[in-house]
Amino acid sequence: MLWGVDVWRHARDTVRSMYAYIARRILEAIPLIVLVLVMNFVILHVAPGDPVFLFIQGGGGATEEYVAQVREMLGLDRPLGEQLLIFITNVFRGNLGFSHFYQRPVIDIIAERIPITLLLVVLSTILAATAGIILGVFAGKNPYSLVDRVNTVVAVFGYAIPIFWFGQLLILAFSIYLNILPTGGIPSRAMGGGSFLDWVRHLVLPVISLGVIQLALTARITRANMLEILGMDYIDSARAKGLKENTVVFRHALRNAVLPVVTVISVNFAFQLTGAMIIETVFSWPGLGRMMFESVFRRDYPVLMGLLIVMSVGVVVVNLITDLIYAYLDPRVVYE
Amino acid sequence: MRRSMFRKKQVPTKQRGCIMRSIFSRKRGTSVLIVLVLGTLIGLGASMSAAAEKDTLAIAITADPRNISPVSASTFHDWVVGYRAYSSLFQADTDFKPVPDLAESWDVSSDHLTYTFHLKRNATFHDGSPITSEDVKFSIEEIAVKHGSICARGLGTVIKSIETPDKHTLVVRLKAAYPEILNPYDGLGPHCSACVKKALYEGTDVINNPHNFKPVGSGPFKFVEWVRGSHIVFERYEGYHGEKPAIKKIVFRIIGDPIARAMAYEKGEVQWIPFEMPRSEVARLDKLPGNKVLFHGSPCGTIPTLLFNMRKDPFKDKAVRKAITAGIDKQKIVDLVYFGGGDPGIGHIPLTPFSAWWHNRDARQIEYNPQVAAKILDRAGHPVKGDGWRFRMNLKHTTGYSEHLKMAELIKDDLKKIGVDVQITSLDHAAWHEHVFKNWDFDVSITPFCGGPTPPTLKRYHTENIKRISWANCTGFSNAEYDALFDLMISETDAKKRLKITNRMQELLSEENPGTFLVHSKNGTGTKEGLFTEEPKGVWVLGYLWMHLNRIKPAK
Repeated sequence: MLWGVDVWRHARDTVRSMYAYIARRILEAIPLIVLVLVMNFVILHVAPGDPVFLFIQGGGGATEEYVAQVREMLGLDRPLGEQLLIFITNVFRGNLGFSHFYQRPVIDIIAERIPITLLLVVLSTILAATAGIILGVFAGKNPYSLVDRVNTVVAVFGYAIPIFWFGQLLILAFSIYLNILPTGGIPSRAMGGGSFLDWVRHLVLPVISLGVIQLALTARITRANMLEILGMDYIDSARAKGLKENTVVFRHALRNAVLPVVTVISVNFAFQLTGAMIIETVFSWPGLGRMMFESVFRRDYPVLMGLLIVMSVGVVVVNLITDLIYAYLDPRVVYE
Repeated sequence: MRRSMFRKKQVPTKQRGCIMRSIFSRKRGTSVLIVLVLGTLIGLGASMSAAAEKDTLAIAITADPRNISPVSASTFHDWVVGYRAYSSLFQADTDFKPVPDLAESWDVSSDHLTYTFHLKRNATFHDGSPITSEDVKFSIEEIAVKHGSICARGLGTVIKSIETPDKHTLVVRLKAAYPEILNPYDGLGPHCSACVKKALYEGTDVINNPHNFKPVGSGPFKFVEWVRGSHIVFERYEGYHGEKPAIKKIVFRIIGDPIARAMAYEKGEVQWIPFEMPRSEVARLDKLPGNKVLFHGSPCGTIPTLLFNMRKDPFKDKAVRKAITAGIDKQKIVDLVYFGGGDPGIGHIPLTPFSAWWHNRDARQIEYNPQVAAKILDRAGHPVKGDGWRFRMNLKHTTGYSEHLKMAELIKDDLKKIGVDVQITSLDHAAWHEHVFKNWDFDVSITPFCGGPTPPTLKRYHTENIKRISWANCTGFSNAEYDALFDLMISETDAKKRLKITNRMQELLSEENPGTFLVHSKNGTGTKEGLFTEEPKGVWVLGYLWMHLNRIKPAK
């Protein structure tokens, strides 16, 4: 009974310290996010380009009074400091502003597109990381073999090739010549599609294009770590004990080798979002990345600031999840 | 074990177990799985393509419209998408003449100041409610004149009043004669009379009205779905008052990347790319069977123009402006930048199906001749100095149009030969607008002006249009004769007199040279053979916003 109580107490303390750790990390992230927002707000507003001009267009027919009216409607007639204060106050109230280009609240516009981008980024990260780890493990286990050479080629190719060009090559091969996959876009019931298989077909090429860099990085780092780990004494001990080779590699070696890989995947997440901007443009996916590109062009400040908040929070959350995964994988890591 | 699979004789149980294991061995199983997946994808792909073609027209555009409504409609995408859902008083025929739409007929008073439109009695909105003259009046006065860019600067300035003596009669009274009133672009066509339901807009914040995004329209197609950044779907409105379209559905696919757009067209995922076919792909795709890709003039007659800031030296001097014009090889720009899709610019008004009736072929700018250009500069007091240059100038352009950087580089090369040093500044679109139109901070700038389709667009160079507004007269060009001619032309109803005035205005622009008219550019439109019931010609080739897509039949 005493042993059971000790276990229960340990579990309780672990959970408490985990929640405290998470809460502390969130509190630490808030000033960082605010700083990112302030810096980007200032940069956006100071950069050349008047959004009022782009909003009006109109072939030169607008009057100066109308321009002033639009400037007031967009809130751009106020001093920069006042605009910043209004913006930050609204953010803490959950109001990300209103886009006069889309003529809708920013939070609605972003909420509409988040699932599309997350689907692409998360799927490509998971598949690329999984494939990279498997390739890296076999390459590390069999150095200088055919598998290892394939691993090297994949790594160099994946890292060197521009992803927008790779995406277009995939479209050429699979959509135009082989005619087995669509050129892009998302399916919809209104267009006569929208089934699960239809979604799979539309996802294949963009996921591969977006994941190729992640695959290259993961494969390379996993191979390097596996080579190092498999040369350690405890691996020899495990083999000497008569454990099966798969158990030695996947249970004992990989668990240690994968820790740096988790860090790389997390750090690369921000780059995946940048890559998503390019892939969404090539494959006509209506995600956050493409919206960011178009909003920069249009100087749609509210949407841009809203996107920056979402991406900043996203990076913080991913880093937090990475730390939690670390603690799960490595029992030596404790929450403090 | 493998051999036993193919023998017909009875196989003992133990062997059968080995056979099963061998069939479902890891490598074989993986191969079978890959074949199954590929087969499913191929089969699904083929069946979906076949289904999509039959009763659906897929059109590719480059960006979302701002909304699906006449409110604030000011770009190509606003019009080509939004106007599917709305009827207007009239539409355009192949010769760009008005044909009845909501108005089954109209009368014009002898002084051209009163227009009486007789509306169809069976016209309904997409919710089944009848369209009345009050709806049309509201759409013109409260929507088009106040929030529509084309109408606001043109017809909207001359409308005195609109009366509705009964539910199916509309009387428009003008302050002054406006010859373009029956023109589908500048008149009471879609830009000025796209009919919205008054009850849904009256008393509301028109700009933010939710029906701008989920319209209850009045046209041949009814709104179904809009996934921003992806697609917009319309379906045929069965209660439409006019000739019902043959196609059941229109899908606008939003494909921003030009190569992706071309590939979607090549594959057949879209059957029509109006105006925005990448120029580099026109010749190649036209050769592929089943395709019809062509260059053609645009309605507004886009003409990239090298505008001079005439407030600054040395561009105040007409001789310098002419010399720079003479130093630029426009044919080379057409060949290298536009892939032959255009003609060297001769004047402000390009030759298009819309502007053919008033295009003045004799109003030509000085021809390309670098020797003449050099002599003009010598006489104008700009000899070649010790550093090898006569003077320097900064050329600003927007990166929003991919051709402009290439044009800038060719211009730099050409002007180098006559001793003018060109420094190119590439700006993103917003910054370029600010530099050129707001701050007038430029020496020269490549600007894609519209030269048409109708004479009121000549206002671009009017003194009154010298404003710090996008697309206004940023050159500072001010000519009393030009202004007086414009004021006469705008209300002249006699066609011959009008033509004489516009001819002289074009001559003035070519003589005074506020800008070098670089290229009468053409756009690439891609269609599929068999898509139209008749060969596209004239205005029809564009299948553009002023005409309902009634003549489109599904491809066989």
